[in-house]
Amino acid sequence: MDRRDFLKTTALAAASAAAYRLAQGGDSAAAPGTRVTDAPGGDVTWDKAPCRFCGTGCHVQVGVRGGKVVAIAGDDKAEVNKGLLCVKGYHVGLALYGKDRLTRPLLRKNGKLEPITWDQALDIVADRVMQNPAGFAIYGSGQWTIPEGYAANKLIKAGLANNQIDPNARLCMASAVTGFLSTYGVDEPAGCYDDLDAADVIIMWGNNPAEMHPVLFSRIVDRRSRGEDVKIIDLTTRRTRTSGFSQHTLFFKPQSDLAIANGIAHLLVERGTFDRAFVDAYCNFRQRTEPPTLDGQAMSFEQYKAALADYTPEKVEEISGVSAADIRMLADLFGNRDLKITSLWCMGMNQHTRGTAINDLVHGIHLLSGHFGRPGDAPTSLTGQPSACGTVREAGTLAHALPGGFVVAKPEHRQKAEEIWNLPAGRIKDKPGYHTVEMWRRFSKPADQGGDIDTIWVQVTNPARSLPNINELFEPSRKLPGKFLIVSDVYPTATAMAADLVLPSAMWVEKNGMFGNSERRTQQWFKMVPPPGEARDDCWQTLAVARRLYDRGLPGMKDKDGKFLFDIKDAAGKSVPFWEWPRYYDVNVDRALFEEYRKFSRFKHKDLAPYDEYVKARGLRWPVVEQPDGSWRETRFRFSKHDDPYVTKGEHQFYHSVTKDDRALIWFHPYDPPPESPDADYPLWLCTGRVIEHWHTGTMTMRIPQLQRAMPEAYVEMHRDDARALGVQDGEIVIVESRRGSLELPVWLDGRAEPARGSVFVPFFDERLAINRATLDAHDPLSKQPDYKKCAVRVRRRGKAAP
Amino acid sequence: MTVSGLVVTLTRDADARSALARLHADPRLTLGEPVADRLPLVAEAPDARAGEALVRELEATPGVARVDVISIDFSSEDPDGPS
Repeated sequence: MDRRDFLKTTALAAASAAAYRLAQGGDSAAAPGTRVTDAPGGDVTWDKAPCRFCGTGCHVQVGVRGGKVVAIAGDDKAEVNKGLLCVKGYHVGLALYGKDRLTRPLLRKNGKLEPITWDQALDIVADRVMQNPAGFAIYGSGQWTIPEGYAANKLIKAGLANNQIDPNARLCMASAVTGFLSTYGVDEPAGCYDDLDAADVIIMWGNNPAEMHPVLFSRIVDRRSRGEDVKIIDLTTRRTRTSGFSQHTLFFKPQSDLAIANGIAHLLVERGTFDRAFVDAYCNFRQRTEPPTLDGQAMSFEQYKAALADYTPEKVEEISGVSAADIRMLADLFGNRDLKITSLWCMGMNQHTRGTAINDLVHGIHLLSGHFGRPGDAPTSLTGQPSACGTVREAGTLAHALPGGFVVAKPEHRQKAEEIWNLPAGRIKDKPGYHTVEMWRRFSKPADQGGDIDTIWVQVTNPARSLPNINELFEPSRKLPGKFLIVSDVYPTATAMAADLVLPSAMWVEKNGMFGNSERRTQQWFKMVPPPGEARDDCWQTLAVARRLYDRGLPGMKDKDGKFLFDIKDAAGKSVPFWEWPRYYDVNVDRALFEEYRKFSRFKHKDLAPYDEYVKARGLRWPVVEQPDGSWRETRFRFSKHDDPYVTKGEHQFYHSVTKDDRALIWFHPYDPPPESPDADYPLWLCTGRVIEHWHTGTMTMRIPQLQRAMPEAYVEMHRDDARALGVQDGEIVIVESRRGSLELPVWLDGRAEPARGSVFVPFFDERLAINRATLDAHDPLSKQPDYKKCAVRVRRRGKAAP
Repeated sequence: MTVSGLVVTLTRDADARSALARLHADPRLTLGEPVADRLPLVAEAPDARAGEALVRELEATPGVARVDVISIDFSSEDPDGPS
């Protein structure tokens, strides 16, 4: 078989398996014929890996030849995607091969970044720590692998003991975390993607999965194409690709999702169509306090009913713009126990100054109506990054957290962490570090004005483009003496180019890794190709710095027996000097870190299996519990007796309940107006987000020619009537400005989406056109997550003065 | 030369038959066994840009409801890697 025939055989095998799955709706592993990885002949070796991009967690098969990734195929053994991929997924291998990969450490000298050695670079990082350990912070990512995040977290919380670590996931799903904590007492969804295969009704709460999670959305659409009756309801502020597949597209005014949720709850209570038996058995009622807390204040059902009384359909229509008839339609659906309803949300509900509240309310509707726990009945948040759940929420890399759902504020949690890490008592501090906005605000202020963070080490993210209000939160630090920015990345991103020290990183299958996706699924892959030049693993970078600090005598780098905090032994029990780069792969560092980390996972019933179980699987959903025969069983539906082994009484048991009585909380939160609304000076709403071709700030996807060609630059999407009123033509360059900043963008009219009249949309994938100069850094009081979805702007033609 | 694995979903109307005939006749395509209305096939194109154009052409073919790209091989596109 020649090479061309081999390629054709493998491609046809992958396509045939996927066709079977699409047509039958079942497991494509059962499809007849040859698998892509089993095709005879050829010189390509295949191995599994989760996709590098979003939080869906699709698995790909990666084809390698001559030390390079040369082919990508959907993995037909993966339950998440069953052989399918989106446009980003099947191009993921090309993300490694942009021509401008960073290949050497760079230090800014006289304003220019110049090459230095790794030894020099590591010494500089260690110098910065030794100079002021309290002012040294790590800013990480939901794209960290689990071992990378775990190592950075341990370095900061057990080593420097200042808790100054926070990830970019603060910007994308922190409100989902606080919503789960305040409702169930423990984070992450109870359901999983299987719900999408069973639901009769799927409600998108400000969510556009047709573009953001396309493989998941195709699971729903495929059911329809097989003749199943699935109702899709799109609650949105702009018409999107998702709207095109929906039976009902309900446009609401920004922020008014709280009123809609309350309107549904009001009708359920008023009509008596809520599930009284479920509520009586499994729920308590709660209201907010001032200042707000995750525990809130108890309220009775009668008080809850009275609080909802104002949210009549007519009142909700007035606030939200959604008709009273449609509010009644939604309440009718939730009031029907014969239906199975899944709610999905992502940034629309999370990037919200009332993010925790709207998360609580949507959980509350499901609990109130009893649409919980049966396959297809689930309130489910989706994540935008591949390991926002695995590395941030589970490994505990938020400033207030510890691994496994522990928090630094609780003495018993610190004590348990100190036991696992073999630390002297009291090493871990009880005061949380700064959340993202605060960390960067302090980095951008002089020391004598409260700027007590003087060094930030950024890993696997691009805050110069992804922070809100970057004119205030990012750029001032670049002109302040004494502030030092370290960036580990794979490409010269806007952040890297603004850094004082740049460390070139290995990427995706250039290193071992583990991710955790949106449905509690922990995934593993092995290194398949070498990184370019002198690029090295992020995890190695962290551990090598830790070792330097140990060698310099920083006390925190020793455990209570005086040993190095990250002592890793080989099979013979001998410590391995993995901090020397040539020795790093003498031992599987990921396995060693993961086996330590998983000791944390039992306390909050987030049990993880041994590392080697993940090597065999296409991911496993926690809690993963060992069975009498020694096998490991994953859990699809938490808190429900039919699937969760930790439910020991009743059909449902919320065993980490806030109220310690195995009950979940149904919250009442009133609708409050947003902190900034359009006015005479800034008359338009601005919403920001992603597009299907690009991922986040585009640092990878804009270097993939096929994706760059498909969507080459950012734009401002306007309603045709607004454009006409301004005298603006399609394609014309306009100025979009807020009270915080401005930028020039081409107008796109009648594009793939359409904003409501009085609002505009700008995607944030284009580093050259930084919309976060305009966005607002106001954030939710509990989650500290900023609102990128609504602020006031104006649009004007170039050459025309502002009013 | 790029080689991609695709699944074409045919419409459930009379156009599907003519679409199938067109796909059969296209020398750039090698068809697999259909599974109901899903047709697996291999698409060959001189380079990535032509491959993209071919997918768009398939999507625009009457009788084709949807095209899913399942696998992509870019090994021979540029020996030094893509730009």
